[in-house]
Order: sequence, then C-alpha cells, then structure tokens
Amino acid sequence: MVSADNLNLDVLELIFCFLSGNDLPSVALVSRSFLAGVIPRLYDSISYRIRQMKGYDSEETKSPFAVLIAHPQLAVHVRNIEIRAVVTVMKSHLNPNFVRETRLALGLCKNLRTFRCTIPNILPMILPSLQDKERLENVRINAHLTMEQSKTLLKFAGLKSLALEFASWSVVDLLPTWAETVSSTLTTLTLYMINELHESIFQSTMAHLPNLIGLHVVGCPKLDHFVVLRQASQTPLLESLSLTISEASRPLTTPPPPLSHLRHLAFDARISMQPSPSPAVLSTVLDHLKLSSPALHSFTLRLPDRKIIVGETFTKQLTENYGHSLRRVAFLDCGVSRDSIAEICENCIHLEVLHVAIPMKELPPFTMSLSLSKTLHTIVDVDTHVEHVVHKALGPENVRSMIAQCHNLRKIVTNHRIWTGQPEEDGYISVSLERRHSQSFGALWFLPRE
Amino acid sequence: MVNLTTSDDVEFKVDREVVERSVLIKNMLEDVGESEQAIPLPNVSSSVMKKVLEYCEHHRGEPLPSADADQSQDETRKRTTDISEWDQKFITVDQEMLFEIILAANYLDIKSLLDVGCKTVANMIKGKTPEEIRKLFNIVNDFTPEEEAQIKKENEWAEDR
Amino acid sequence: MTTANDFSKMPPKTADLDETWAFLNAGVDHIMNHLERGLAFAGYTSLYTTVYNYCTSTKMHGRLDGNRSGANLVGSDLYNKLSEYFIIHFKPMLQKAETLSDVDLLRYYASEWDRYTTGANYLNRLFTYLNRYWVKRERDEGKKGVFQVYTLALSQWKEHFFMHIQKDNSKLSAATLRLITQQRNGETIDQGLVKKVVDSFVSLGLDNADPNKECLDVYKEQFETSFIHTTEIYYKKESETFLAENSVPDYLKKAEERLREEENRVERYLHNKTRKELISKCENVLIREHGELMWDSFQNLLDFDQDEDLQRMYSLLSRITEGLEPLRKRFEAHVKQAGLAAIAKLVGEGGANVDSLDPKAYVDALLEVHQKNSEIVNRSFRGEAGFAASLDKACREFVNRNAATGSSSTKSPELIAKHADMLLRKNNKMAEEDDLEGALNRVMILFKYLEDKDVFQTFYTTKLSKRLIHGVSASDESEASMISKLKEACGFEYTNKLQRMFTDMSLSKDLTDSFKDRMAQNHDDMEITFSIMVLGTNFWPLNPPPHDFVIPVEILSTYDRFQKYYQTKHSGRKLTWLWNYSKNELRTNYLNQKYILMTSSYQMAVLLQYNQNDTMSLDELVAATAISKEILTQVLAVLVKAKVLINDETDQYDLNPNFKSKKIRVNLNLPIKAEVKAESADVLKAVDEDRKYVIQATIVRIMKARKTMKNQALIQEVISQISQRFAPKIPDIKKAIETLLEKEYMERVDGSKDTFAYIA
Repeated sequence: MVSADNLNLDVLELIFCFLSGNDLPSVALVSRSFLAGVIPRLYDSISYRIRQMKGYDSEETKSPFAVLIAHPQLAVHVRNIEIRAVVTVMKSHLNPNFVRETRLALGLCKNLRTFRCTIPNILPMILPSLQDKERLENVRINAHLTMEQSKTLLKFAGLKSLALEFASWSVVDLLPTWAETVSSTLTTLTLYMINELHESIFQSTMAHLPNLIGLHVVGCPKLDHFVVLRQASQTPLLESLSLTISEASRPLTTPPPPLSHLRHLAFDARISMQPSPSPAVLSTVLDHLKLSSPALHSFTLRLPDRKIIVGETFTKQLTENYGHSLRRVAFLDCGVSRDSIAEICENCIHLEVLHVAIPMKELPPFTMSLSLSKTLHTIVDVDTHVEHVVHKALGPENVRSMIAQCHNLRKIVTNHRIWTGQPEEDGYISVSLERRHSQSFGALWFLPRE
Repeated sequence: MVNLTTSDDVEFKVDREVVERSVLIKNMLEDVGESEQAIPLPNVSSSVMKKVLEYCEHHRGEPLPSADADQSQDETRKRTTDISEWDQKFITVDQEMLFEIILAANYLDIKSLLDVGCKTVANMIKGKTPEEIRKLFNIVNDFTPEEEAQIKKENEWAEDR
Repeated sequence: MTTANDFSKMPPKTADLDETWAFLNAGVDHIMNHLERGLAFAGYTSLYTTVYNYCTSTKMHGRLDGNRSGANLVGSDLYNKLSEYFIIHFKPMLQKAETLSDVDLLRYYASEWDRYTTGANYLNRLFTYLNRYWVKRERDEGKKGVFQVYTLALSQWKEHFFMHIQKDNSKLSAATLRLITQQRNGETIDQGLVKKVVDSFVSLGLDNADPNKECLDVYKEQFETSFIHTTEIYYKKESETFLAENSVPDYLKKAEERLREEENRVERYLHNKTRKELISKCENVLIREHGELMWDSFQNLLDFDQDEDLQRMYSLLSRITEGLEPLRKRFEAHVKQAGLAAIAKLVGEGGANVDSLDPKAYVDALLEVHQKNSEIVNRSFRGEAGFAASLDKACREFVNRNAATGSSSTKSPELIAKHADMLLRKNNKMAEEDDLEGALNRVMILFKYLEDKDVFQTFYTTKLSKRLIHGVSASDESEASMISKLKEACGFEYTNKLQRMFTDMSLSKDLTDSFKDRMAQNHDDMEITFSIMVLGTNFWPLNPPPHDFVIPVEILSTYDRFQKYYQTKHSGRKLTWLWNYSKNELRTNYLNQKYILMTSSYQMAVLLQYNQNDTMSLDELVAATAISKEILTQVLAVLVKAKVLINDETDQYDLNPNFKSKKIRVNLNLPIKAEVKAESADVLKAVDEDRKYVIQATIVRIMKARKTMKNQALIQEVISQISQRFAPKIPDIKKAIETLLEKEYMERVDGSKDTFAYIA
C-alpha cells in the first residue's frame, strides 16, 4: 500500500516545494524520509532577522550559518540569503563568532543566486566569501565600503538585478565600471539613499545599461526627477521606474523619455514645505510621462507626511490618464480623501489591489467607496506606524462586512495579519486569518510587486 | 486509438490525443510507432488508470508544458498552491488513491497532474505540527528523542518567516 | 531470449544494481546495435519501467547531517553503468576504424554516427526518469560533468571514439580535407558524406554550462583551423601557378569562380560561421596577394576598353580593404591624361592654333573625354562614389588647365561662355530645338568643373547683353532654360543680373510703345521710326562712349522729346545715351536706286554730314561729330570699304555718287577691330573689380556673424565660401582685409596681431 511515508524522494521534494515558512521545519521533524525530502526546500532560502537572533548568546539556538558549517553538504541547496540583523556584543560591536560563522557559511554556498544584506557593518567582513559565486544574479546591499573593499564588487559579473543602499563614495565611483561588466545581464538597477551619487556618474553608468527593465532611484539627493527622467531616455525598454520628486522648478527635458513599455511607476515626493493638498509638481511629472507611457499597471505614491492629503485633482488626473490600465494603486504615508478613493475605485476599471491606510474610525463610508469597484480583490493596510494610540484592530466581523459589500474583495492584509474571505453558497462569508508577514515584508516600498 | 494494459491486465482504448498528455506514452508512440499492440503499463493499476484517464480526457486539447520549461517558470509555480475548481473536485479522493495518482502521474510523466497531486498533499500539511502531520499520514516517528531535539534546534531559524 | 527485442521480462522492483543492469544492458545493447530489428511497446515500457523502478527503489532515510546520498547513489549507479557501456560499445568500432582510411573511414564513421545518434535518442527517452530527477538535481547543485543521457552519449563518443581516431594524425579530419581538395581539383565527391561528418563535429561541441547551447569548440579545433589552413595553401599555390601561365584577365575569371565555389561550399556542407574567415582568407590569397599585378594591368584594360575585365577587376578588388584606392588613383590620372591629350591635339604642335581655337571644337573635345569615362564609371565601376570622385577630380584638372589655357585661368571659362553664346544665337546650325537643350546641358557638365565661375559669368553676361540689344537671341525659352540651369548650379545671386536684363528688355518694349502712342497724339511730324532700350546701369556690362558726340540735328528733336517724356515719367533718373551701341537705318535719296543703309550711330552721324556737303575733310568730320579721330578713321574705313564714301586724297572723304549694291539693304554696321580686342580686356578687368568686391563683402558678412576671428581662420572661411564662384588668391584676401581695416569695417583686437573684431 502506498502511504506518504514511502513516497519516493523525488515526489516528496515536489510536494514540499509547495510549502513555505513554519511548515518546513515542521515537516523536517516528521520522519527521516520527510527530512530528506524537505532539505532542499528548507535550505533554499535563509533569512536572518531579529527573530533569528534570539537565544544566540545563550546558545539556545544556532544560526543557520552555524548549521551549514556543521553540515557542509546542506550548502549546495542554498540559493537565497538575506541578512537583516546581526548579533552584536555590547549593542554596538559585531559578535566575532557570528561574523566568522556567516563568512564561512557564505563561502560554502556555491550555488547562491540571491544575496541581500541591508545592514551596514557586517558586509565588509563577509564580502570576500561572496567572490566566485557563478550563479549570483540578484544583489541588494547596504554598500558602505572603503575603496579597497569596493573592488570586490567588480567580481559580481553576471548580475541581473542590483540594489545599492547608502553606498559610500568609493562604491559610487566604481559604478560605471561595474555597470560595464554587467551590461549584458543587468536588467534592474536600484539606487536608494545615496548622497554621493551625482548626475555625471549616473549618466556614465546608465550609458552601459541600455537594456534595463527596472530603474529605481529613490532618496538620492543629487538625482531628482529631472535627472532621472533625462537619463531614462537611454533605456527605452524600461517597465518599471521609481523616482524622487523634488520641489525645484526646473523645466523638464523635452521630449519626455520614450517609455512605451512602462508598467510600474512610483513617486517618492520629498517636499520640505508641506502644502496640502499635494503640490502641482506631481501632476507635472505625471503629465510629462503620459505622453510616452500609455499603459501603467501600477502606481505608487509616497508623501513625506501623513498630514498631507493627496489632491483630488491629482487622483482625477491619475484615473483620466491610466484608469483603463491600472491594476494596483498604492498611497503610502499620505492622507487620501474618501472622494479620492471613490474616484479611483470607480474609474480604474481593472483595479485589483489598493494599498491605503484603512481608517478604522470611518470604516462604513470607506467600505462604501471601495464597493464602487467591481474588480478590487485585495486591500492592503499601509497604516503600520501606530505610535501612542492603541490601535483598534480589524476584527472578523469588520472583514466579513467589507467582503460582503465589495463585489470581488477576498483579501485584507494588515500588519502581520492576512484575512481571507470566501462567500459560501448560502451567502455566509467564511473568514480565515493567517498571522504572518505579507510576502513583500522587508522589500523596498517602491519596487513593483506581482 | 491507443490500447493500454494496466498491471491487473485491464485493457483501455483511448484517443491518442488524450493519452498523449503522458509524455512517456507520447514519446513511445513517436519512437515505436502506432500499432495494434497494447502498451503494457506494469506500474499502474486499472482503478488508478481510470482516474488518470478521466483527468486527461478533461484537459484534452490544452497545451502541454514544453520539454524545457525553464527554471523561472518552475519558481513561480512553487509559490501558488491554488488548484482549479474541477481539479479540486477531481482530486478529492482518499489518501491512498491520492498517492497512487501522484505516483502514476510521476511514472507516466504528466506534469500538470503531478502538480495537482503534490499541491493537494502540501495543502493538507500546511499549518500542522509534526505530530499532526504524522497522524494525518499515519507515519511512525523514526527519530530518537535526541535526534529530534537536534533537528529542532538546527532548523529553528527557519520558523516564522 | 525468444526474440531479439523481447525485454518484457523485467527484473522485480526490488532488484539490485547487478540484476537491474544486466537487464538494462541487454536492452541498451539492442538499441545501440540492432534497432533495425525493431522495438515493441513491451520492450520499451519494460526498459523505461526498470529505470523508473530502480531510481525510486531506495527508501530515503534523511540523515541528520543533511547527507542524502541514498538518492544520489541510485541515480549515479545507472549513470555510471551507462557511461561505461558506451566505452565498451566503442571497442570493436575503434578496431574496425583502425583498418580504414580516407573515404572508407569517412563512410564507416558516418554510418556509425547515424546509428549511434539514433540509438542515443532512444536511450535519452528510455532514461527520461534519470534525466528528470537525478541529472537535473546534480546539475542544479552545480555538478558540471553530469549531462542528460543524450549529451552523455555525445560526450562519450567524442572522448572515447572520435578523439581516439583523431589522435592518429587527425585521421578523420585529414580524410575530410583530402576529399574537399579532390573536389577543388574537379573530381566528383560524395558531398552528403562530407556534410554528415562535418555536422558531427558541430554536434560534438559541448558548452558545459548550458548543453543546449551550440558550441563550436570541436568543429573549430578539429576541423575548421586546418581546413582554413589547407585552403590558403591550396589557393596560394594555384594562383601562383595559374598567373605564371595565363593573363591577368583570365586570372580574374578564375578567382571570381573560385570565390563563388567557396561560398557554395559553405552553403553545402560547412557551418555558416566558417564563411567569414574562409572567404576573407580566400580573398587574401586570391586577391590581395596579387593586388599589385592587378593594379598594374588596370591601365592596359582601360586603354583597350576591356569592359568586362574592368568590371571583374573592380568587383574583386572591392572585396578587400583599400583594394580600389590604387585603381581610383590610376583612373584619375588616366582621365586627366586623356583630357590633356585631346586638347593638345586640338591646339596642334607648339600651340599653333591657340589663338584661333574654335570654342565648339574645344567644348566637344572636353565633353568627349568626360562622357567616355563617365560611362566607364557607371558601367564598369557600378557608379561607385570613389570612382565618380576621381572622374570629377580629373575633369576639373583638365577643364581648367590644358594646352589651350596655358597659365591663364580665364581662358576655359571664356571659351565655354563663347560656345554657349554661339548655341544661343539665332541662325545657329546646331540649334535644332531638342538638340539645343541637350547641348546646353552638356555646357553645364563642363560649367560644373570650372573653377572661375565668375569669369564665365562675366563673359556670359556680356554675350547675353549683345544678343539682347542686337536681337540675335535664338529664343527666349532657351535663354530662360540656360539661366535656370545656372541658377540651379550657383544660386540666385549668380543669375540675378541676367534676369534683370530680361526684365529691362521687356520694359523697354513697353516704353517704346507708349512713347510712340504719346507722340502720335501730340505731333504729326514724326518722320523717324524710333525705338529705345533703357538698361539699368548696374546690370548691363555696357559703357558709354569715352568721348563727346554731337547729336545730328535730324534726330535731335526725337532725342529731346524722348528725354522729356522719360523725365516726366521717371523724374530724377539719369539717362546716359550709349551711342556706341545704337544703330540706325538710313534711306538714300541721292542715288537712282533707293537703298537702305544699316549703320551704327557713328556712321549715321558721319553720313548725315553729306546731306549738306558732298565732300568733307577728316578734321571737318571730327569737328562736326565730336568723335575722336582714332575711332572716326576706323568708322570711315568701313564706309570707304563699302564704297559709300570715296577716299582718294589723304584725309579727304567724298560721297560716292555711283554707289551700287546687289542688296537693297546694305549692312554697314560691322564691328571695328579696336572694339573686339578691347572687349576681352574689359571683361577681365570687370572680373577683377567684381572679385575685389565679392571678397570684401564676404569678409564683412563673416565678421558680422562671428564678431571676432583670427586671421588664418578668416582666410580659410573666405576661401571656403567663395570657392564655388572662383578660386580666390590669398594675397587678394589679405589686401581686402587691409582695405576693410582702413575703412574701419573692422579692427585689430588690442594686444594681438592676428585677431580681428567687427565694428558695428
């Protein structure tokens, strides 16, 4: 008789491919055959965050890197590594033991495809272990490196996507050369919060990258929307674009960049004075791009302060330009009036996902606005920074009533919680709650999500 | 029409188009040529074959995944465990039949059916503790307590992602 | 074993490696060696199922150290057995291959290759399960030496069969190359065989990272390199031998044919990537190596108008870089030489005919050379731009400087302008309507080459003015057509004057008519038929007489009336009477027969004196007409020659009472020699004046735009702007700059010697 226990390894591996998160360590504990089957999936991705640090000092837990060193055979399975936290001594110094483990373990993972390290101080110490990773394609690093250290980066030659954050001037200096070595493979470039980056280096970098599909330049003070839009004319294949919009009133370079493939657009508005509603410069940029990019699928806007309300003229302009194509709209860190939400729900005829702060106090009228969309499938609450106020959380009854009123709504995502509702045949709506981070947790807010 | 003989000597007569969802049979017909002779399938019983053919019949005419479906496609496939409504109903069978279907799909090389089976098992596992999983599938814990503790400790980092 | 292909008795699921492989080995062997005997479903599934069963047989026991070697073992068991099988499979083949050579070896290799790859394709599918999981897993985990079963088969063939044969003096590729050489020698060979063998070299290349990607390593190393090398040697030898015994034109044919053959060879049985290097190497040995010889025989082909050979040489040499440049140079020299020779012949030994050169003959000679060579450019050199440029360069040379021009840069423009004048005159024999247009177009061909276009312009203007005031132009249409051609070539400014001349002509006609009308109203004593041309001073190259002129009383009243009439019509305009260009008709009353004498105004003034006296002395005539003595004697000479006057005594002129003429209308108005000679000199003087003005105007225009400029740059700019009209001389430009500095149109910038600034 066939049972789960004597399914062959090939099939077990296939089954466990469809699992993720906590299910994987659970499966590992079931039996020897399950353990064997789950290993490739379990070790496929390693993410080291604050939670993983717990108990490190007291040796109650082992870091995944320590495990890899203990069982080097596991390292072939590791494709993705993400380091978002490091173990420290006395709050500020890196724990040397942890650093050693990490460095050695990284050296073992020869099949590494994705590497992310968003904290600054550990990278210089583990960087040497990342050389000669033939399959390394995606890199996102907090690149505060010295000139000597930066040179190692040139050895990352086959990259498809690269994200640099808080890069030091020595890394910036290297960018054009690096871009040349990856020019045949790189399709996505993200530059985030880099003070040192100015237009001439950016320009010579872009000159090597005419095939970019994604370009995201956010929070780099010397590269505002004028510069980015001007350089974007070198990358006609661009499908997604993020840029920081500044107040300065230079005229935009005409003609607008020819971005007929553009599908995803994100604005990061850095405006020191805070007029409300949002300033006209946003409209200007939106108009400028309309001429060349006819079919946006997603649009993301982030304002510097929640007190600023997105102007209704702006939302109207958005729906007039892109109402026929938009599938995902996100408003981060800004106020959105009920009329604006109604405008978007009514006129974006394919709208599927809306990221917006859910107003707990005004849930019924908010729901009314949402119900104007026949296609809206998912609501993502972006109100995650609750400080002093005790947050009134969304309960199953709220969810049930929202799903009942909105034609196609099935999913509501709030901080750490994912609500799913399914109308039954008798009209009752069954609601389930999953407590986990949404998939995009930790990702840069302006990157497109599918 | 193609004749198939199962392990329990039952003959099935099936349209070539239907049965070619199995890459094994498709290749065989190409290599050996169509003939009156029955194709013996010693690893599949008639009850399972019936189910498999029901699946193939329903999905008749849909495009087959290309031989070298590339890795990126594999990657996106992993993320979703959604199963279409008909497949969902089709795969609602007892556990033994479920595993039999999975093995048959794997043997016959029917990728989409194999996926449906594997997703179904994965969905059964989701959210359960090791003990619950063992109970679900009637599996004996063959670890020693020490081993269990070690595994738990070594994989704890993977929790709550 | 009942039948050769009965593999239905498969081992049990629990069978170990030995038992499993024993069964699989027989099946694999059947497929690799006896597939022609067939394979039934039963056999196919048993082999597939045995592989499946063995790969899924081991129950997995995950070990705490993450080592899952169980799964890896079953897969590698089968994989290794299969690898070994292939090596054994090759043993008898290698023995056989050792005994064979050349075509026999190739035949054997190709037929084995067919059988092997067919079998390997079957195996790849029978071992699908191994491919799907174990091989995929190994490759995913980064193992580089592990391949899908078909690729494994190829890699084994390469290493354990192909390379073994090749080790023996590249036996296989050498045999292939010998076959190709035979074909080059003209023998018939089995091209399909060559293709099959060469294709196998391509298939054997293996990109480790991605086995599906085409990789030409083996093809290049084992075949292409030596193929190219052999080819070079072959054609080097052949071309040298051939050229030693044959002419260059024959060689051109041969080389062309060989290149075509090699192109076809690539098409028929080589990899496309070989084309570039093969052809470039062939071009090197077949063309470049013999370039000098071809260049040297080029002149000969030109001299004897060997059209086809020229074409062939052009197309061959155009294949190599810089191959055409020597031809272009030679062609240019050839055309120049032809042009110079044609004119030298015309001028005759020692410049015998220089002064009496017929403009038409001159133009025809130039055109003939141009046309002949222009045809060569289009026909033999496919109108290639470089050759067209060489032609232009050569033509410019001999059109402006030849035996007829000597060192004068104005002679050619003058002759061509004269030729144009003759074409456009009434009673020109060539001027059959359609032909005239063609002839004018041919003038334009030469005009294009003229350096001093302003000289042409000046002569042309003078000639045109003559045609107009004497009414001898063939047709307004042709005149207009020629002007529009010149305008197209040199712009509006160039023809502005010419057009104004036409305007004046038509205005004058109107003016004459309206004056006549007015006179008819006011006076009834108009005995004189009068017509007038009023010509703008700036547009016509005409000068008033340098001396006074006593207007004869007979025409004085008409003169006064018109003067008055014109002043009332255009007050403030000054009329200058060009007596030297006017003409008259006089009726005789003193003879039995009435004649009409057609005269110039000077002749008229003289003859009218005889209304009062029958005889007059030279001094009396000078006093009566105020014409200078020098001119007057010439005027009188014509009248005496025509026997209207008689000059029997020195300085004494009598009216001839017995004048007779066959014609009633007697034309006395012939040009006098002094005028003819003065004409050319005047024209050239006018050109010089004009040039000074053009240079100055150009400098001012440039300075106005640039504000400040260095001396050298300014001169360059002036030359480049003017050279379309004439070639300005640098001293002239410097002189113009000095003049402008004096006139304060510009100034030297303080502290620098060679920078000028514009003064607004």
